[in-house]
Amino acid sequence: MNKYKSLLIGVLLTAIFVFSCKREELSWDLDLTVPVAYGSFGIDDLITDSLITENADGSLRIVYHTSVPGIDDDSLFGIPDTTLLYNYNLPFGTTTVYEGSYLTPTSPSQTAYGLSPIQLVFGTLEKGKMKVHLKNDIQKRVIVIYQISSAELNGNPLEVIDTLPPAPSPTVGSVTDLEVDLAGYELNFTGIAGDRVNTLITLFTAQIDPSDVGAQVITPADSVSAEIQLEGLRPSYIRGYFGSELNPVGPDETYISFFSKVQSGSLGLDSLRMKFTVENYAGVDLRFTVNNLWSRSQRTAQTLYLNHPIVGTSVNINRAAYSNSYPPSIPQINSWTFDNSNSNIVEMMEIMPEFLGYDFSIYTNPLGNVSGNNDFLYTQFGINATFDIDLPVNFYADNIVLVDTVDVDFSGVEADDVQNGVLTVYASNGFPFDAGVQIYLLDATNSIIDSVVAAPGTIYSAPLAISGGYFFANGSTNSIVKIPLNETQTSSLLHSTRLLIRPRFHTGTAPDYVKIYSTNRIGINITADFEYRVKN
Amino acid sequence: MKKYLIGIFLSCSSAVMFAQNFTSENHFMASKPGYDTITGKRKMVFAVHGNLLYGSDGVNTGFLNNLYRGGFLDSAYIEETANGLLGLNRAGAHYDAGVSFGISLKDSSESMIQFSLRRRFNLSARFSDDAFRLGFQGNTQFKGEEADFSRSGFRAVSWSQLQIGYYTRETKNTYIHVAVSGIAAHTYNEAWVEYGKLFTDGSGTSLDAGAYADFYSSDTSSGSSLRVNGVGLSVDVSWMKMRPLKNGTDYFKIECQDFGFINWNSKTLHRKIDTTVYYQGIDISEMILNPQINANLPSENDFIKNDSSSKFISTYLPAVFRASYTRVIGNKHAIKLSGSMPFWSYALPYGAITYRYTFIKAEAMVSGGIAYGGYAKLQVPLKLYKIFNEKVIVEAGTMNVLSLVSPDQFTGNGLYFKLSYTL
Repeated sequence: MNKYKSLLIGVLLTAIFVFSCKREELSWDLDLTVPVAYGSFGIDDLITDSLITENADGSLRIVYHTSVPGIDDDSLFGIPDTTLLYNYNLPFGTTTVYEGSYLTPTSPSQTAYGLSPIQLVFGTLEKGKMKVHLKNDIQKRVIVIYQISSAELNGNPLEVIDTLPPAPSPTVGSVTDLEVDLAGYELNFTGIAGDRVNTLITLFTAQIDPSDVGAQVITPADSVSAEIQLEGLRPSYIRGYFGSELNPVGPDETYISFFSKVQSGSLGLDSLRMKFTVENYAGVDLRFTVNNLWSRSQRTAQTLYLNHPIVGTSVNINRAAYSNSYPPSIPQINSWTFDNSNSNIVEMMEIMPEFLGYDFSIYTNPLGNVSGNNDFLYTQFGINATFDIDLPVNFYADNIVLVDTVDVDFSGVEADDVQNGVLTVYASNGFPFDAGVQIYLLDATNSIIDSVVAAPGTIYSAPLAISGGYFFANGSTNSIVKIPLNETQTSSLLHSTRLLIRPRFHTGTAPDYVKIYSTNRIGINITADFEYRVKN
Repeated sequence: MKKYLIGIFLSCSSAVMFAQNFTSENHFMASKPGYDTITGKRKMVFAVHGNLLYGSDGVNTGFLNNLYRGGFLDSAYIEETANGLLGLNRAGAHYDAGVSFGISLKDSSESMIQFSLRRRFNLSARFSDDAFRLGFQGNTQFKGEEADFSRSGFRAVSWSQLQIGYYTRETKNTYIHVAVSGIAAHTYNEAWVEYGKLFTDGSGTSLDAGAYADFYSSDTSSGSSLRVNGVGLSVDVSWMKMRPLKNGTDYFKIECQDFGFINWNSKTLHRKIDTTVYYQGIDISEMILNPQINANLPSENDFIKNDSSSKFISTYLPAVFRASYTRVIGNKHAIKLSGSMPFWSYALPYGAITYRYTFIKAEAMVSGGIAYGGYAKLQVPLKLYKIFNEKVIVEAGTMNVLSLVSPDQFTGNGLYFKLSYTL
């Protein structure tokens, strides 16, 4: 028995030895240094290239272009939707119809289009639809033809032919609906004799189907009708007399994205020019009046109106002429320049507005129908109004703070394993201003929930020199900004999906201006030194 | 019985060879005449055994114990460990558990056939001190310096083994033993970094890395740890010559263990990396144009140009060649000198000298010695041996008693246990 006991004990000891060890999770901290970001950029990297112009001396200008969306060709020369009705029935009594009998006259008629005061003689449609609703109350098959012979596509008139089934009973008619795409059709609005305007030549005929043999007595209750709807007509070209009308444009505002991210601070501009241009591509005389122009800062609740002689003054703008090349008309262009010397445009921009407001009046054909119904419009080229802001980059900035949000995705990082660390910004600043940045975390409702960098370190301005009354960067200054992140901040940052970034700029030279050159650049390297917990 | 004990230390001293593939004991040795415990006539032997061995010549046993047990390793402790590293370090681990059965032919101990079923795991690694510091401390301390982890690698293999052996007395004083094993291989992971360097800029603004490396991995997509991903064969051969002396006996023995191979199946993944990377972070100008920060970028593929393929792969088993000389003096004392040369592992050659004393009345023995090499530095093996009821033999020992006493000051550790029952 003893020998078996010994054997059993031995086996147990061996089993315990081999299988008894149970381990807990192993972990340790790594001190990691990782480059986060780098880059060297000038003002042309910060602002869209197309906005930047370089002067001969290497200094820069920002040219911001925006157009006035309020001048809409449709509002001036639109063709409204129209419904045309055609109906045949006996006025009284009864009559008997046979196969092949015509129910309607077979000669065309003229249908006037309600476009007054516009008097169109010709048009080409870019798009539009004709919806045809046909109804037959006669208990025999009826062939219906609807034709607009003054509308042609490749020389063929617009025509709809359909055979309507017999009405199923004396009280119930048969119905057919059709739709025709009118894109590309050319419309002649001068009528049969060519002496009218806004007039289409139409033909509606109804005939008992010749193959439907037999007599049928019809009464005044038996009708054949057509309802024609012309919808969404958008011409690509029209000709005629466009009327003598006063059309208001605005008051309205156009958004200026250039200053949209400014949150606080003040800006001093050395000079600024804004060019206001009206281009008339339409073959119609215009009388253009600027009732008001203004800039509005929603941020500061400031509105400044333009002081310039153009305000309240009407200007006649001649009609465009036909061109044999593209674009198909030669525009009449009128422009006005607002600058330091003739307006308060600098002050209007120094409030860093988000909106540019306008209130215009456009009076078409102020002298009447002097063209003899030969006004014309290529609708792609109507009346354009644009603003071009030409801003030399000479300014002073007093703690201008921009604000922007950035969507972030740190899902690739094991956020819980990052303990704490320090972000270090190495900057070589060749710009003549100090810079800093604050970073906040946003929740789903864009509310600030925590800060990553609440008190920004300073990236110092390049050394300054002065020439021609302007300060400019003379070399570059190296700065190191350390951003310590505790474990909570690190975790919050890595779990966030949206950051609020607040860059800050300060020239510190007010009231003197600094000048930015194309050679000014800032080099940035951002590194992260952090503890990372390895778990195994 | 007394003379039966003579051979104990021949195996004990080899068992303390904490090196190579760690399977320094042939578990049939309990039945081998002349150099093991029982030299009398017996019909059969049944044994169970288990051993767990691990060590490193650069990292002390306490650190390895903590790695195995788990828990948090604080930075000061890691730094203390790192300060003890060599320029090039080696580490290994092994476990071996199984049962064996031997039956004598012709009712004689002169010849015996044996069967053994073993479950084995072997890990062998070599690494530079920079590799250790990168892995356990990070790259911050390498600012302005280059961390070199070239010629670092590890290989981890687990397998099961069915062994059939035969020993016999070749002549009056010589013995020979041959065993063949069929191998069912389970898991295989290997990495070899032929060239690997990482330069961290002094201010941390850039990383400059280059690597030329191979990675192998057996199919681990599904299945248990006993899933068979490869098959192989191995051979063990030993030969011993005994020479009777006036006041004792001396023995000379050579042996080869685990000379064999494994053919891994076609799902074995081979990934080759040959890349140089210069990384400065995210390009800010890209962020300005596209204000989306995606921390998933850059991806691994942006850095590493690798070539992955699945294919058949053959590997050698970690093997060892060993030679030993034992001088038995009287019936109580014996001294043994042994040396080993490892193959297909990162272990260093190993040497040991051991002394054994026999307690004749107690039917027990104790042995101790000094060893150096393998995966560890200085080692002091200790082993106890006891016979119960003339049939049950219990062996237990440690490969380095110093590591048991002071694991933070010494390298290499292991426990060994074997229970044999004879008829």
